[in-house]
Amino acid sequence: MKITSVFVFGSFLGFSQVIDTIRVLPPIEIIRSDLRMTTIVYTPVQWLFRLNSRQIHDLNANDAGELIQRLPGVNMRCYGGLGGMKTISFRGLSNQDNAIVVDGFEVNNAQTGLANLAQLESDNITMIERSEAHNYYHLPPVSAILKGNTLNLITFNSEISQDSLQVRANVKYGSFGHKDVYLATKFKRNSRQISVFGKYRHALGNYPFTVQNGQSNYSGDRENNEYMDAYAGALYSRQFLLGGRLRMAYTYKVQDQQLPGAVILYNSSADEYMRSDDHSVTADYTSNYENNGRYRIYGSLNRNVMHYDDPNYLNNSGGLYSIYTNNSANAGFVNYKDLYSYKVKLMFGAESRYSNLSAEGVDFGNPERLVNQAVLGIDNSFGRIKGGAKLGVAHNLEVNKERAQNTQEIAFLPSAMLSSMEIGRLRLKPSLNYQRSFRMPSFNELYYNNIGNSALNPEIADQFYLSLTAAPFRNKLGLYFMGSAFYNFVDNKIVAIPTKNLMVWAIQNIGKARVYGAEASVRANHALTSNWKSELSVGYTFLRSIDVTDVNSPTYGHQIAYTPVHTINADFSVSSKQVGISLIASYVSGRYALNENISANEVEGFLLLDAGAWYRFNVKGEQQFTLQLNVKNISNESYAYIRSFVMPGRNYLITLRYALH
Amino acid sequence: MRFTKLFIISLLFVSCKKEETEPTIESTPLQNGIVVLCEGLFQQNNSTLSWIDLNSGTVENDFYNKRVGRGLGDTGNDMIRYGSKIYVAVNVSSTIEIHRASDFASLKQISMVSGSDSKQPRYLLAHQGKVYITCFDGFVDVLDTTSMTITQRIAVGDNPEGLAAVGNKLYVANSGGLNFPDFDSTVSVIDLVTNTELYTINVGKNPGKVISDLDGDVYVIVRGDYAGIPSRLKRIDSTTDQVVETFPFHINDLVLAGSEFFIASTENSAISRFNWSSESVVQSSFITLSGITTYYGMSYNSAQSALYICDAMNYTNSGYVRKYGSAGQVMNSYHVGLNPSKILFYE
Repeated sequence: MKITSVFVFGSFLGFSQVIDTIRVLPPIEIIRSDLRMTTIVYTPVQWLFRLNSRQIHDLNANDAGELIQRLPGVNMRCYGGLGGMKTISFRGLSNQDNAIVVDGFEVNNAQTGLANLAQLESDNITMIERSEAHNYYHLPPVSAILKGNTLNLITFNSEISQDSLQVRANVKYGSFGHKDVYLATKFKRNSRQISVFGKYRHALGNYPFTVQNGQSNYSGDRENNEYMDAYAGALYSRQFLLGGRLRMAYTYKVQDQQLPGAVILYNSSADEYMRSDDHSVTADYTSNYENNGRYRIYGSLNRNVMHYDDPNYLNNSGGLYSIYTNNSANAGFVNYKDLYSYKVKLMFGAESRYSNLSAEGVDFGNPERLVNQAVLGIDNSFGRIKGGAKLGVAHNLEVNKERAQNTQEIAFLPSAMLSSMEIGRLRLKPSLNYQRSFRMPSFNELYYNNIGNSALNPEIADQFYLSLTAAPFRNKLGLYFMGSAFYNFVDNKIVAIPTKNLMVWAIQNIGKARVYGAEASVRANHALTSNWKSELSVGYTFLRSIDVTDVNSPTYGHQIAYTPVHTINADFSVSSKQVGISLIASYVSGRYALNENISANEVEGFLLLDAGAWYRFNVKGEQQFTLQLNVKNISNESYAYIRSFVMPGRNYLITLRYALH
Repeated sequence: MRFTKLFIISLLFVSCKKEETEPTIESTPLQNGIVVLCEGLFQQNNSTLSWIDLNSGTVENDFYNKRVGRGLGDTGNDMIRYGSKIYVAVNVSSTIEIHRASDFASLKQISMVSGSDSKQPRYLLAHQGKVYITCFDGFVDVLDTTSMTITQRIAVGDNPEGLAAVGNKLYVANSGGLNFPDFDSTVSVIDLVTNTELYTINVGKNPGKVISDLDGDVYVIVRGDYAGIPSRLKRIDSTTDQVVETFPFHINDLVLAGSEFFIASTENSAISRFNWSSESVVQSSFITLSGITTYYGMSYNSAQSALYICDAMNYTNSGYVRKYGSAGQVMNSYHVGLNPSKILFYE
């Protein structure tokens, strides 16, 4: 029996394993020539939907939110600097309509319904990709398949090492008292691997700000904005013959932060505070042996305890103090297999998720929720045309012990896709998608004190998406293009508008919304010399998200709050193996703070410019040090994603990285 | 490399900073119009004043910025005129803004903080040369209108709201609103000679607005718990300081109009007329509120014999001030800022 190790590389530019602009995939052991294993090879065009490690490295982001917002179609809402809550919408659909999947597990919180991307670590991310409804390569969880739009984050911890020992470490020092230390190591013996990782971060967050105040400016230093977070964990994995892999991980995170809230004119006396502790256990087994069908079995347990303290709340108790405990458990499987000479592929899976919430010091009603989901799909190739369809069903059972509001919802979620192989010299590749998605309101939206609205209805979105990719040049000059248009029908769209602070929202069932727009993305790379290369990528999103509920309403036909019409991201880099510089630009057009599109509600657009430079040197060949300087918001722009939640001005970050293998 | 240069140049070009300009302040005298205080929303810094020109019928919603050159702040809660000055209590910004009434020029901004904590001013009452300010931290602040300074703090109950004066006594409603659902039920009586609380009167759950008539009676709206306990109007005899009457109707608000009160009830969807001398309702449905989306306040103009009602729409859309004539008929409607609640008239 001949055993050969095969390494599969993507074809994109790259020359360093540590800074892998190429995607290094796990070794695949071919045992018999008639056995088929699934390998993932990313074509250059597919990188238009991804951030590679070069870009992630250049951005030197504080969290995953700052990275994800650079993908086409993504809009971010950010409530302050380091530690400030970050959520995203994708093609006008809220955070809860899109799945954020880290190493195959969806980030989910039944209380908030949100993935707070400020709490997702960025130093360990090696790739981020955006995928649509019929991309099953990573065998994502069923909940993500049914949402349709998925952001996959791959981490260093999970990737299979090719060495017996791999180390990644960095130390950062930045403006406003920002210090952080990160360390991750992987030990590999034969088919077994253990990753151990951890991070500590602290920032004072006392950045100066200026906001427009009528015909004047209002300036000050951000107060009550100190932030600390830390995490530690371990991941054990074992590979089996025939492409099987078992992973088990535990992660603990703690977050301790002051909550400055919005800048209030003439009053700087914010004093709220929040601490959260997260425990997470995940496990899965994946088989990539296609003869029996690729499959993945997965499960996770999560516990989150959050303390909220407002010591100067003017009540009899001398303050407001509440504790929220969220528990959740989920398990599922997904199978993707060939039928009939590999032209027909069948996908099926099922998942259950149980969540509960108990709260002290606040009226909530201890809700519990059980969500059962199943999906069946089929893909078929007809010559150069590929078609696919799937049908999902989601059953939601909810109990609120104190409010006697047991609810049951069943939703059928169809989806269809039609695409072509690449056509002609331009390598044009069109595709057409339809997806229906469904989400229940979160516990906060339904039950939180007097802010929650128990009359909220579930949100249903029908999404249509037409895209075209092209790769006209692929030699010394690589040029890749993606354009797409989308149209979404949303019923009972749920919109949350922050009011008193991050903990207090006004929840609205907008009713009906129409979301339409277009995205375009271009990526070009050019080999300047044998040692130097340049790379440029530009993404543009046009987005209209309008309220069409009631023709007699003052907001009929108006753009929904905090939805920019234009978003542009661009980055340019020049680099060799030893040094590199990058320029990064982001533009977000003007928005409205409320759904009524009048001048009083206008929030100014902004353009941000960042720059970075790095120098890298090797020691004994296998060890690599990188010194990096980033200057963010070079023009010291005064800006805010959300009205009065000011963002930092010009700031600096010095990073020393170390990598072994 | 040409496209590279173009890219960098374009980035530098578009990043040029805007130049700041000096504020342009309008100072023309104000007459024959209405100033409307629009609360805005929490943490949006969008409290505004609208100016309605009754000659032309036009509305200027950026009035405060044009007259003062800056924003009013977050959640303007009350506004009164006393002598030649106008006083505005801004709750979340925790300020008292003092303006010259003739042209609305800013005279002073008082920061209402106690140590490092916000006092959160709520309601204002002018009486005998002072302005009394209820503060949510459990005090009534005394503002000297000549020196424009806070001269004293008088401790009262939890989260005080409305207040009224009769002779040398001040009546302050202690709502306890931040202890929801365990509201306070008392009115504090303050001796204005010594500026100390004499005693409290038990009036019922969640007292809010307080108003006095010309007979020396004090009326208090108790708002209940917004669920099983309904709102009611209570009458206090200021000579005995006892609750002498409870009126068995739902009430949100009332304003003085000569020998009567106008009483707003969203449950009854009507404005009724109440004679404070006979203590009886004389017309139960003077104005129907069917044309008002969200009742948010009212003011009576005796010179015009007109009632102005503030409509907050759905709280997140800009509101309206609707004018009703002496027969209760709709006379006009003005599109103003977000959440209009208080009105001052200029002849």
